[in-house]
Amino acid sequence: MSRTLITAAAVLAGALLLAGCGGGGAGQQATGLTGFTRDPVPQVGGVSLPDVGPVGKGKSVPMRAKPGNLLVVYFGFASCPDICPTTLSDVRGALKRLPVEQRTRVEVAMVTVDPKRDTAKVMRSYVGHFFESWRAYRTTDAAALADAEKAFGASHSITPSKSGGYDVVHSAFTYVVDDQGRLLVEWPFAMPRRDISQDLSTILEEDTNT
Amino acid sequence: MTTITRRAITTIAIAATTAGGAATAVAHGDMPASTSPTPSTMAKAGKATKANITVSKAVVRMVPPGSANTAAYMNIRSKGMPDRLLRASVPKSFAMKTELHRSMMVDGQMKMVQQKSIAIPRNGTRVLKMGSFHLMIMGLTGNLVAGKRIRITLTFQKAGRVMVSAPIMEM
Repeated sequence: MSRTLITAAAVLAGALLLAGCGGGGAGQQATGLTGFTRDPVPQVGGVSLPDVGPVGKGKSVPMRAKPGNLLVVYFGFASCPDICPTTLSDVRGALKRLPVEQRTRVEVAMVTVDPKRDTAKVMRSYVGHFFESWRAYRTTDAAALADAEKAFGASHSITPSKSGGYDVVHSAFTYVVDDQGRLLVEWPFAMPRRDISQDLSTILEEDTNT
Repeated sequence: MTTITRRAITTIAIAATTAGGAATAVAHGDMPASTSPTPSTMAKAGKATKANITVSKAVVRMVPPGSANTAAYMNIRSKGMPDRLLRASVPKSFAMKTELHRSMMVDGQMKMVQQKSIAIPRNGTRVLKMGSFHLMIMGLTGNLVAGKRIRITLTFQKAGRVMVSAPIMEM
């Protein structure tokens, strides 16, 4: 039931996207993927933020996968109790469904939209808890973060809360980037694990065959 | 322009997802397949009954070391009259405070909105689940240990206080 709705929504969204952007033409890969695809395919490989994980060790790392691999990117924050851990758990669950030779070709990156609370230490602990192969992007440069979000079509906003702290609101898509920095597909919140897994598998197989 | 279009699309997609999920949840008391804990771990989930209220499948989400917050999920069934969940709490030794929250999509962004109360329908089940209604447990005092049970005290308008022992589970 809800699957059908998601699929219907995806189709509708796809149609709207084309209509809204006046796009058409170049209908590249996009074959048989359940997640949303965009036309033209966005290029995010030029985006570079400090990765405080074991790969970057605090140095800037471009948002593209290693050769032949895929990079799954999520914008969120570590003190988010519901949406972010659910999404990361779903991605983890999806990766577990892949055969080892495919699973080891997927790296997961989380970009914090709350660098104030998400220190480098918090980010390492948080992202490292979920994945074996990961990046933890963290910048205190708000403009750099905004540019990165813009490239992906992500967004967030921070507003003061009644309790004296602040609330973080954020877009909740999960993005897949290839080794050329192309944003190939994105999944909305609560995408079933089997569909995430299938999309990754489809892209990895295409990549192997070409 | 692109941003606006994207947001509109996102809203449509999530609205559809949420509508489907909510309808299913109220009718059957199920979590979406993608986010349910596995059946084997589900067996140990917390359960409690008092007056017309039955709480089942109560779990606390395992979060990485150093996390400030977590969430608890459960099914709350009312046999007979509707009721209303007014408050929830956990021992101070576990976390500073607990609030009732609902995750929802607003203008293409996921937002958590604090709830004054959560209605439990007449002869029906309210499902506290991922991406929807949940208990937000804030200010964790230490790192969580999977399998450890947390006593959650729920206060209902009619049924009064209901205690449930919920295991911390990796989801």
